[in-house]
Amino acid sequence: MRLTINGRPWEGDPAGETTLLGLLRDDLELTGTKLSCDRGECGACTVQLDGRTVHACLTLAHGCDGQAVRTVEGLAGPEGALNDLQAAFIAHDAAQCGFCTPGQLMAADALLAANPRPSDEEIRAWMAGNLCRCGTYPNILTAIRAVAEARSRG
Amino acid sequence: MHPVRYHRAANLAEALALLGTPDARAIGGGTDLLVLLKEDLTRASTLVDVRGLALSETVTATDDGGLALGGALRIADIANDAAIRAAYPALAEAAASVGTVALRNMGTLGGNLAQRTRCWYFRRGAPTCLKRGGSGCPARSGANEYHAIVESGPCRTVHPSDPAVALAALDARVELTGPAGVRTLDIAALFADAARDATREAAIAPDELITRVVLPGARAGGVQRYEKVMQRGAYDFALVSCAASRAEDGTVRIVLGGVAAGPWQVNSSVEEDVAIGALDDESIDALAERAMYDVEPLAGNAYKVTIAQALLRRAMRALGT
Amino acid sequence: MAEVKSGFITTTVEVEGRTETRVVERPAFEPTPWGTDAALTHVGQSPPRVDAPEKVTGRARYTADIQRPRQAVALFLRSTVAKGTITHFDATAARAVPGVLAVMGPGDAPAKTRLFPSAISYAGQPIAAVCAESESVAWRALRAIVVQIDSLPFAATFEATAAPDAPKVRSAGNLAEPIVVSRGDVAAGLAAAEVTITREYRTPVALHSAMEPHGAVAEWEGDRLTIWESTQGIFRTRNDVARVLGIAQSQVRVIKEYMGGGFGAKNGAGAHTFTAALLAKQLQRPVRCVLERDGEQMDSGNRPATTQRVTLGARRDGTLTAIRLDADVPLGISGWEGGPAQLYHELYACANVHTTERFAHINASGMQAFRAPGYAEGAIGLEGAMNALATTLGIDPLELRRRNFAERDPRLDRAFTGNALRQCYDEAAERFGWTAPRPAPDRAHPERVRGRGVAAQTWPTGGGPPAYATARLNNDGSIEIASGTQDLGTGARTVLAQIAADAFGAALHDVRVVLGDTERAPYAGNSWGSMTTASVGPAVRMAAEDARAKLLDAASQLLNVPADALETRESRIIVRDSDRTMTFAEVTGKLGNVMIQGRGSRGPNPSDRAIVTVGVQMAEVEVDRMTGVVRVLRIVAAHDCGRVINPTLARSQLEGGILQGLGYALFEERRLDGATGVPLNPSLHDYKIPTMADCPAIDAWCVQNVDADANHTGARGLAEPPLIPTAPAIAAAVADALGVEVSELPLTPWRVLAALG
Repeated sequence: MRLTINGRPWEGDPAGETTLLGLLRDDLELTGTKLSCDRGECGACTVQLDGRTVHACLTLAHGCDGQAVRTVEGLAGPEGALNDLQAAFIAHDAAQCGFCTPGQLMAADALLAANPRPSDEEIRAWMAGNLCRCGTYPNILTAIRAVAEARSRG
Repeated sequence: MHPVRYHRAANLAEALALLGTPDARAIGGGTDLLVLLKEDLTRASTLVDVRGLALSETVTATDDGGLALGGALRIADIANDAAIRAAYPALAEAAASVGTVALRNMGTLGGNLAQRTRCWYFRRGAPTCLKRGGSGCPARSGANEYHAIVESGPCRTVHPSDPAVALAALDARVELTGPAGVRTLDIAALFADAARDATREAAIAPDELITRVVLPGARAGGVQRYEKVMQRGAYDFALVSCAASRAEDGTVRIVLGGVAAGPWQVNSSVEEDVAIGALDDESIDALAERAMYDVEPLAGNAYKVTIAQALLRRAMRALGT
Repeated sequence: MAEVKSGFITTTVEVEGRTETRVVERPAFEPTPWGTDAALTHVGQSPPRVDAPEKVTGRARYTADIQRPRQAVALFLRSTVAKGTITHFDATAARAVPGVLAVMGPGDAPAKTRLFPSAISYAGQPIAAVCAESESVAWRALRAIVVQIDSLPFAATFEATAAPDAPKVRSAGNLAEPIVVSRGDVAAGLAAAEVTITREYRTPVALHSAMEPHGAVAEWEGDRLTIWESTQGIFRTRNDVARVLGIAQSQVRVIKEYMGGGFGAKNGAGAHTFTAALLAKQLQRPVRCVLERDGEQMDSGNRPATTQRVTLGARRDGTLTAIRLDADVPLGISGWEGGPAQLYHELYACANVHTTERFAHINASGMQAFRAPGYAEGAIGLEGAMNALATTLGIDPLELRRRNFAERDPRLDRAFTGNALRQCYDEAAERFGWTAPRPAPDRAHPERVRGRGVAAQTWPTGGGPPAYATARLNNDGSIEIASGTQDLGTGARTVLAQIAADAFGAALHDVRVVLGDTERAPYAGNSWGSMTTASVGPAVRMAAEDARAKLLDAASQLLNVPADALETRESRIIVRDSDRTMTFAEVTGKLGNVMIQGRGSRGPNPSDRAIVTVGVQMAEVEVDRMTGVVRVLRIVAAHDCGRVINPTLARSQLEGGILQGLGYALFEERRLDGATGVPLNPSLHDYKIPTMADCPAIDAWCVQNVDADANHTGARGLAEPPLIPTAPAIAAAVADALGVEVSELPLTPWRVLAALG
């Protein structure tokens, strides 16, 4: 099977039961995407598949054949320049322990791609699929709002 | 998970042939099946990916003014489809209330209907549970806040699907394709044995696929509504839900979720009285009470009767206008 | 700074509300306390978290991200029975699974590790561990183990375990010694009361539910063991492991880089630590043992349930004459007696307080401190009763609290080092609009009713010794501060850098803080009890000032001026009242390979003073009377934690505590099946923590108040206080909305509807 992972082509033949999460973390050492519940109940493993968010823990690797995967490692630009969402998460203290942060970023990135000017209610509804036990929700909301506003100003 | 072989079926015939082999299971989004496999609640040696089959992810207009939905349509796509939102908003709203963005991106319509019960006795492996090899229902005398208030059989499960409730209120027909051909069931028939069958809730044979769900033109438009009551603001199954439709011809369907083993349609006499219209608050209260007349709540879930009545009243008010 | 006679002294430190006696070193000097007008550049500002870039790029490595060469993976097999005896255990088939390296089962582990006993005491208890090349192989092998457990009668509730014919839960007996604490004369106080109210409250078992499960990676090199562990206590973990394995502490290194939340559950070595260490030794390969989510939810400790029977006596004007509590606390199979009573003794001025806490053991997983243990539960009872009293008396509940404000710590009759609770009351009332008229009800939705509620808190946050820090000034002027403390996402790395930068007079970016490694840093205690900032901050400041003094000594020789004519600012040394300056780098560069080092330690707390963080929260809720669903619309929170080192990070702690309090109020309860004692909801769906869709508008801040008497940085702790008043404020708001109290948490639709009848 073939994938594009953060823009780079990859080819392999993982075992049939390998999940996308297992492929990323164990085989490709892309450990930015986290394993927390392994049941699609928390969003910590959120990645983008052809631009749409999915739970990598419940996605079979082979089921993604031919698709493009984007993970938190793919957000930064060349030479590691942080993208505006990452910078906003830093500026607005949207990461405490940081364990849910990769999933939050991938979900937020997908939100702004689908809906560049989301209302607070839309942000909440979209981001509800990413649990945070440290309670960073207010700052994540602020960060997303700030990025949306900055982007709309051009 | 135990090892599995993965096959992406190229066409329906190949899918059905593979599903006919021992221990083969259809996989769509995998959002329930992979959980069941990880919990060792089901076995499969072959997973047949049934997404991407011809017409499986399309929304097609039918001759009677309705829509045919491919069985592999993603829940997100159902929620966002312009034709579905226009003609069958109750279904679009139900789909929009499922899980989270990611789960909606992944899950298919067929998989959503086929998903197993979330009952914690089933999922955690209570030995007396009839769906875990026993013959009883530990929820009856146990922790049953999330269970059925309607007696549909030995098991007090509720079905977790939101779209199923809306589909029931829209007279949807589910087409199942198997080696013997196509058969069609309405939602009630699909879940008729949910409280009895030890191996599944939806009556889908292991070698069958939900290929289409057909919505009749007769129930397009009109007044439609889906309301879902949850504990959290999101990412929750329904405690109780209600789908209601008043068709252009004036007929009414009102269906509750979270109260029985499958979507539960209220008594037709209640629906007929709602259809007559011109309901004042007193009549609405009386109808809501009558709708709940035969329920048999368990020790922990009588509150669902209260919530159901509230949803029924709101639905009746909405349909009455 | 004044030179003080050094040596060892005995002092006391409050940890999670318990007073511990310690022998500590008196530091060599005491920095001059930073008072209200201290000239600080970095402390009090909000530079971004220093490790935020690691977290937003995915570079931060948590325990499960560590991949040592030839690393193997271990998983646990757990009991599905609440009590019993393993009568048959056969791992033959498991060992035969290709890729399986070892199985450790009953009798295989040294007794001191307490791993894998044959006696089962709770469902979820680990029975065995399988170690394999990969997690999927281990998973399969677990299922190939054949186990027979003969189940025995169990007791999983307080009532069941306290009954005269109860099954034996622990050999030493099911009930622990009750804790009775009394001051004054409660009977007299009740007799003198003009009004008494009595209430019973029930609080549930709550689970920490950190996003990162417990885990450890263990690797031996000869007789030296390295453990990477997500832990709140690297030294405690090291000491646990050394003691249990019978090796020297100097042979054990514990490293905590990043961890995904602790909240009290990760305070020492656990089954996963010992399992990883033993298997790694046996296999001579690194072994990772990380809990699966259901194991995490079943077996990582919990906040125990309580039943609290509360009686308050008061005069008509609301002044309390008596407070009485009778509490039942089922602790689980293990746990310490951190019950709800202490808050009752501490929050209000009342001469007569009597509390009885009955602790019992049940066949369920054991209690472990969960953010403000005891106080979060106690606040439900005490603050619920106070709000009921306010309603009965027709007094505004905030005013009732003002009237019972304690000028001195009422429990031990000590002066506070600082207590700005009244300022918190005033500011919160203003920001919330506490006395503003109620909004008009929504005519379109008459079933939706709104209410408002208030609750207060106190919590000991003095921190204390021992805590050590070192400072190193490299010859390029860069600074390293090391302390064996932990940053759980609490922001310690950043806060300590700010303190060090100000103590040195350095630029913030020249300071790097090294934490979380027993090999690289000197001892600091666990990051629990809201202790880190208040304990380690002063040690860091002292280490930095110690090094700075030596730097100035060197600089004075180079500049040919007395050291006391020198100032430091943004990594420059400045001759006062002149334009002569040198950068740190210029001075250290001239010193060649001399490495200037500083040493700091935390001195004792002022004796006989209460050092607390106090605060108040107000909640506005909307309840749908027809469905019983509660929505929290907004929370306003004002707390006094002394000097705030970093206001943004402090606010994040406040919001985090508030969100956990919201979960405790509305959604969270660990459910056990009554018939079998088996946990029903060990998942992140069925055990419901708040989502962003549940997040209310939160306006939270710390009032301006420097507490230079607490310690010389003026800062107290903040981690636990914000969780304490949230659930009681929400419960009060619900009672206000409905006109009836819901006395059992969480406030689920079924409980709300039951209260409405």
